[in-house]
Amino acid sequence: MKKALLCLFFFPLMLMGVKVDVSVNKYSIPTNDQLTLTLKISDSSRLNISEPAAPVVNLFSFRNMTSSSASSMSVVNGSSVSEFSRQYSYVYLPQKVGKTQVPSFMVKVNGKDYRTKPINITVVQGTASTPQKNSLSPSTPSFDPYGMGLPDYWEGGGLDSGNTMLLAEPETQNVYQGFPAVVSYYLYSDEMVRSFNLEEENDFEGYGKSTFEQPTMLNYEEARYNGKAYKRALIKRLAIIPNTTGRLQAPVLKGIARLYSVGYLNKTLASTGGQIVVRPLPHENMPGGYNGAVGNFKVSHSISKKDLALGETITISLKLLGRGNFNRFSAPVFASGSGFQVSNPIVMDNLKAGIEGSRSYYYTLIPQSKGKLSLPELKFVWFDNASATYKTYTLPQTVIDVKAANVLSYFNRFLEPATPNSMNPKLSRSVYSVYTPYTSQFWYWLLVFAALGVATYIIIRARDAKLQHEFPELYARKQSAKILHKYLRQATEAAQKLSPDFYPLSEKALFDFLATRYKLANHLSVEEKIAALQEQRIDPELIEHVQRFLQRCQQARYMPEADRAINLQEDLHLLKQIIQGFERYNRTHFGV
Amino acid sequence: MNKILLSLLTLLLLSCVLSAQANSISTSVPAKSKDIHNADFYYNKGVDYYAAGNQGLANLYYLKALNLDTAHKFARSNLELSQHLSTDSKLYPQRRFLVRVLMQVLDFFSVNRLAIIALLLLFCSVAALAWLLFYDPDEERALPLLVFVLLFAMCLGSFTLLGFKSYHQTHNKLAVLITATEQLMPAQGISKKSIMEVHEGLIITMITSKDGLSTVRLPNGQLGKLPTKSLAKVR
Repeated sequence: MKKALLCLFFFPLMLMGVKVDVSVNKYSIPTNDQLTLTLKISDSSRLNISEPAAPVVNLFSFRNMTSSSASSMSVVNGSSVSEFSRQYSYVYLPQKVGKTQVPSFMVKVNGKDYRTKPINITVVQGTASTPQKNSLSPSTPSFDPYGMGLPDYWEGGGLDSGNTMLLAEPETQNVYQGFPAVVSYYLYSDEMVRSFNLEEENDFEGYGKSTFEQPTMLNYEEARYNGKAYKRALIKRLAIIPNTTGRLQAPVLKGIARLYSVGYLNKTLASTGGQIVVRPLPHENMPGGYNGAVGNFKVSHSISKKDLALGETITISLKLLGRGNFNRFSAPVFASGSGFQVSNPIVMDNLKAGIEGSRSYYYTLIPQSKGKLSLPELKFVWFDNASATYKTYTLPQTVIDVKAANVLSYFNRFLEPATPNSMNPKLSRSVYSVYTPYTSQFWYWLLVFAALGVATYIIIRARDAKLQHEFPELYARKQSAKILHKYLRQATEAAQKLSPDFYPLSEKALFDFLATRYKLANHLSVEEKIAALQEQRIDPELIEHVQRFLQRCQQARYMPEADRAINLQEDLHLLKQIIQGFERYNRTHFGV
Repeated sequence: MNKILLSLLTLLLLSCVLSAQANSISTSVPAKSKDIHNADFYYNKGVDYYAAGNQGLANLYYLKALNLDTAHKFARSNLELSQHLSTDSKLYPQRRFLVRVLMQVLDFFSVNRLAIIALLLLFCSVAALAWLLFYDPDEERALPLLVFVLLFAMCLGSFTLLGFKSYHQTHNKLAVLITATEQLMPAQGISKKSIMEVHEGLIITMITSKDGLSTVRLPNGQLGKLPTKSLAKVR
């Protein structure tokens, strides 16, 4: 059992490890269809695979090969399990009708060799109704895993005469220090490039960078380079933020282009070009308060209200729109000592690659006295790259009318301490407990029903107590009936077992009943009790039964144990008659 | 009888402690795991999304945190600030002082807090009932009666509110606009002229969904239709 549980627990982990699967789309294939051989390799760690060559399959001609990779992570039994996979698809065209086999072939994964299983294939004569999936010429393959969709008008030459290169093209050759320059990397080619795999990105000193754009497919466009017509596709666009002056070399990208002509050919490419001249910022005419912002910005502001009561707040926003080194300068600050308490600004960015878009600063101001107050000075200074000058945006002089505080404004602040002062940071938690409402848990309803049960018990007991207090006679009769029934049950059980305890139990039941109901003390003799019952004007027949039963009990006391059982059933019957008699008497005389 | 009661109470307490302990053991998961049903986890995701400039998802996760724990003051505060700074901030109603106080009091009583309070009030009510019923019959019963009536009324109120909040928690109809902008179309009629433009992060109440369009109620009470795919539901 334990082993089975262990196996169950580790089952997901046991499944991991290098898995090499090979499959085909069809085992029986018409001559006008195509065969896709899929090789899937997966592992729990990153894969290092030597690209396997397409196996030679008799009766088929190799068409093309595509590859894709994927990774995933899942949580199994509280621990994360990763899976990395690579898939190769080989497309073949059938040449002749017959039976053949996809042979077993070797795959080298993470330095180890794995062999695939052979697969038997039958090629049959194609019919007119079979879909013409492969009605394509060798020069225009249709299956494109990268989704790049080669244009129909492709007029590239053959492999021998082709030219394919990777060029880095800065948007502008000259920038000022700090201004982000965007460098686009284009694949220029007059050949048929089916895919491009980016392998490396070599950096140089003197800049910070971020990815501005990276398409997921090759979108070709017409272009000319050195007087020659090419097709070009964007590979990547980088934002380069220079932090030194002088000549700057943009990162060099390296990758492999997969060219197709008669067969496939991989061509390793490295980007060329990408030089930028970085000019220093001028020191003359640099305004006070400049904090390093460089960019082409449009600046605007807004003020939430100009009339308010003391205790209320104003929100002022300053918005920067455009391209610049947003990550290299801090928020502008209000001049101090002007009758307002100013919070640290909240910054909201909507930026692409951290260089282009909008940034808003939100300041909360609390007036400290009533009256007409001028807003403190707020200015933003930046170096404008386009005009090569320093520019300053100053908040216009604005008068705020602050009225006397009222009770509501005081409570507004009390109730809204966080609006709009600042965002609360993340909470530090090493463990998160899964939320479960108490109302969906067993113990909660157990406690609720226990409380309700206790309440019911209290009500019953209280009703008895009230009865005892208000109607003691009635209570005594009820109690005596209960006692009689309790002992009768015990006596019946003893009689059924032919137990000698029947007589003592029955006698005790009857005495207790008489004591509770008629207040006949237990120390009285049987004769005295019978006399007392006669005084109570109870049915003489019932008294006679009682007398007879008590006599039987006394006789049984001195009998040998074996003889006691002889009349047991008869005496039990007599006892039941007595009880029924008393119940009848109670109902007729007292209604109980 | 007393022994039975005592045993029953001991058993109850023991089961309560064991159940709580078992719950805490079985439901603790490391902070890095995905999709944890926890208010702090949702709050932290909201903070991350807000820092990344994704106001729509930030608001969604703040609302998810508040759906689990209405007393989560950090999520409440960040959500209010996010609403205040949003383009559609004017659509959110400005509540009156007493209404805000009432809302804050109701928010303080999260489902689990309310469940515990209701249970305690039930125990107190039972105790008050015992006090009332076994009170000396010859003495004035006004005080125990008053205590019992008050506790019982509070207990009933707590359980009613608990039922309401639990229902609202499991049938939360709030949703957040997660696309940059959308045109709010009229809820009735066939007019294709939009009522207004709404922006990412707007919190709405979903009423119905049909044919890729959802009928929604904006915070200001305005009804309209928005594409369902541009909305993310809190639950």
